[in-house]
Amino acid sequence: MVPALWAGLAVLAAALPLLTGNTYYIYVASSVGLLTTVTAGLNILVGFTGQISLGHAGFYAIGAYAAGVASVRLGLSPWLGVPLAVLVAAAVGAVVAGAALRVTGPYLAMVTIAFGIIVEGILVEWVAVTGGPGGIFNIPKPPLAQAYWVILAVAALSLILVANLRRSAWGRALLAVKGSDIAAEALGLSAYYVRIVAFTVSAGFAGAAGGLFAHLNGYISPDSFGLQTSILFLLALLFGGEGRVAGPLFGSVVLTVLPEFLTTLTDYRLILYGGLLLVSIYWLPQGLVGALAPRRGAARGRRGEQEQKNRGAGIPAERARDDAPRRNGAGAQDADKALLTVEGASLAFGGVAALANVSMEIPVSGIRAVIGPNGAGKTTLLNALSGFYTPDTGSIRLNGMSVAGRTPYAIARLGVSRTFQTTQVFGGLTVLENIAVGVAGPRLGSVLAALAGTPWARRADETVLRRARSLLDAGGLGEWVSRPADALPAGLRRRLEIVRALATAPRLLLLDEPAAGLSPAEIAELDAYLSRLKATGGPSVLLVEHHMDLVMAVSEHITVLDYGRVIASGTPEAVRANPAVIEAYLGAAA
Amino acid sequence: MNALTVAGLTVGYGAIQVLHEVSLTLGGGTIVTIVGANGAGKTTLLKTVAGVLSPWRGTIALHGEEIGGQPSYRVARRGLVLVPEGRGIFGDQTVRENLLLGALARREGRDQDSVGADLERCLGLFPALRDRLHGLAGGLSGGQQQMLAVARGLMARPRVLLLDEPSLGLSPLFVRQIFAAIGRLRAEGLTILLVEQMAAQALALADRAYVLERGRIVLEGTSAEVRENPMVLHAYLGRTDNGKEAR
Repeated sequence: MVPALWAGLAVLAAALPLLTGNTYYIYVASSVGLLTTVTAGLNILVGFTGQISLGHAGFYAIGAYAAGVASVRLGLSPWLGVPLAVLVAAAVGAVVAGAALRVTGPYLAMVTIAFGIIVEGILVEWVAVTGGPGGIFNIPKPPLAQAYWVILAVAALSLILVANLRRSAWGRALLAVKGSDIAAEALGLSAYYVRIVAFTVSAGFAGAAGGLFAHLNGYISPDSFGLQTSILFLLALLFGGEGRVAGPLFGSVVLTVLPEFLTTLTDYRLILYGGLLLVSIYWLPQGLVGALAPRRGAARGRRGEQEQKNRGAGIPAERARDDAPRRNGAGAQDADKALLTVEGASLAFGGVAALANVSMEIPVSGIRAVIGPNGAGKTTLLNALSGFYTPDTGSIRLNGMSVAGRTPYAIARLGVSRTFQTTQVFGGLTVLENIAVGVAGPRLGSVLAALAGTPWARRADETVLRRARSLLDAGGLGEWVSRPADALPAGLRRRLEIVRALATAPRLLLLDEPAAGLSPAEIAELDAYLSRLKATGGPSVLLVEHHMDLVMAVSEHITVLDYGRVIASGTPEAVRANPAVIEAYLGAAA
Repeated sequence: MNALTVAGLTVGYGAIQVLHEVSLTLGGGTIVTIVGANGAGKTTLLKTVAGVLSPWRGTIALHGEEIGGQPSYRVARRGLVLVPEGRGIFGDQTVRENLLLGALARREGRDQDSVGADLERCLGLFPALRDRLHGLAGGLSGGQQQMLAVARGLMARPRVLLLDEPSLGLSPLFVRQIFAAIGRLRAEGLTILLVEQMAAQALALADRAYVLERGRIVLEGTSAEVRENPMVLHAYLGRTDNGKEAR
């Protein structure tokens, strides 16, 4: 039904020039198309990666002037000029992104405002190319109906490209970076790189709209490309619904048509924008599309839970076998070789020693545990091993290669995966998509193929999703497939994190308090699960945990930290009997 | 009069209903614990009682005064304080500042001497915080943050304290300490509603218990009764029917 609705809408839009000879209507409809194209691209940056740009009028301007210069000064046809506009805007976007995305959030918004102002300044000052304040005249104008049809086609194409992107590995990576950039990095994604790509692509969309705008108008000047225009772009997106594929269309219709009804109030346009922004923040936090769409997940209810419970042990053995890391083939024969070696690692925060001369070895298989009082440095150790911290002194070697000082995503790509004490699920993605981010890791393919939705890219993606699905079923999360991950109860979020970490097929899995917040029954499941993982040739596991019965049951070797120092190390039995450990950690009656 | 009376409480998120007609009572100076699986609605119940979520239906009375539907800051000023799951400490302020902020909600004893005395008392309960008193709360380890969250709740001088998983992320030694501290607070006359995955410890400490399953109270009674219930033994205490530890 919904596709039919879209088709009907498209036919109606295409038929507009045949239905009315009034050029004003067609011109307004063209403006809707241009705004839709820009906001569809902006949606990739704002809606998917959660970064705000208030400088997209700059890219719109670059597209318009590139097309204008190409046709007026170089005599190129619009069919070459507009694609050229896309390339120029995207190229500038990539350069700006490389510099600007060193910062994120409100700082990025500030930097992009500065970018917009600089572009505006250049348009005014660089008279030889841009014509200065007067702009560029006599840009070839095709007949209005033709221009409209091209703009309409580009706007529709933009929405389709963004819909393709959302469904692809790239789309999931963008939303993962928005949801939790540290978790994305721990799965091998460079958040910086992913954001640069999003910024570049969105600049390209703005460039396309700018190029079309030049040919629609036949005249461009710096006045059209100020901060107010950037604000309009962002507002149309927020009002329509950021992160929603159809959001840009709805927002563009309202934000273009409404001011036309109120032409007598042109002077108050900014007040209107401000009012609409407040309306959308108060009453439409998900935008128009979010308010109109049926609530997701409502129908699914909580049916899964009881079935979940009834299934008892929950995580069948196939799961671990399926997961046996491909890179870890050698397995048993070099079991006594160290996978990871820490030597004399020390790390201090503001004079407090979080790690003091810590040395330990992690073999290529089996389960090791790190225990210690709260604040002993256990999580700091995991952060150092996974690249989130760099030790002040000492070395960390993975298979003999020094990894201290490498980025988290580089270490993740070397086969170190982890979970977090405070769970870091990607809230904007479903449970299945969360795992698919882990399966794909940094192997995202070409972003252009993802936009185009090429059959090859789709097939590759189906393989990823199939594998994610089998991991998810085997991990006992089958009932929750299409639930938004942030709607999961705490215990299942922990399970999702473990399954997602294993989806990268790691050689070393770091678990930070996986049993925290789990019920005794769930801890028993986790115990069985870890044991099975070990028995079926799973990755080497380093477990930080306070539930001593779990630690005692699954680990072969325990390291005890206190005040950042290793105070004991050995078999579970030896550690449990160690007076220093009883004193510092277990307490008398353990 | 009961310290807290909840009747027919129904609440949810969006279209998903989480709690169905939940009723419970807390006698003054008692500990009541809620046992239930992850996703049963325990955290939702605490959040609703504390005014973080608005009830769809039902009443919540604190010492006979209706508080249902009031915003959480007003509920806190009336003496009902939630220590939330996930701690919610102010990471950019020092441990001491966090504790002093906890005292803002109290209605009497706002003078420096009383606040200082309570600060000392909290540090006595959680000595680990004393060493880090002037460090940023964000720099504390997870377990220390948990202690800070409980201590900050106490600084409000609550009449009723809601604890959501206070043992989460604590070492065995501190788990025992925090349960001992909860027991001492009850002895001082504080009324406590406790949600805890360590059901055995919570039941040992509590006077009464409710079992919450998929948003409904399925069992209630003294904690001794609940502890001996075969279903509870099996599902929440990790014991098999013959009374042996499952693992």
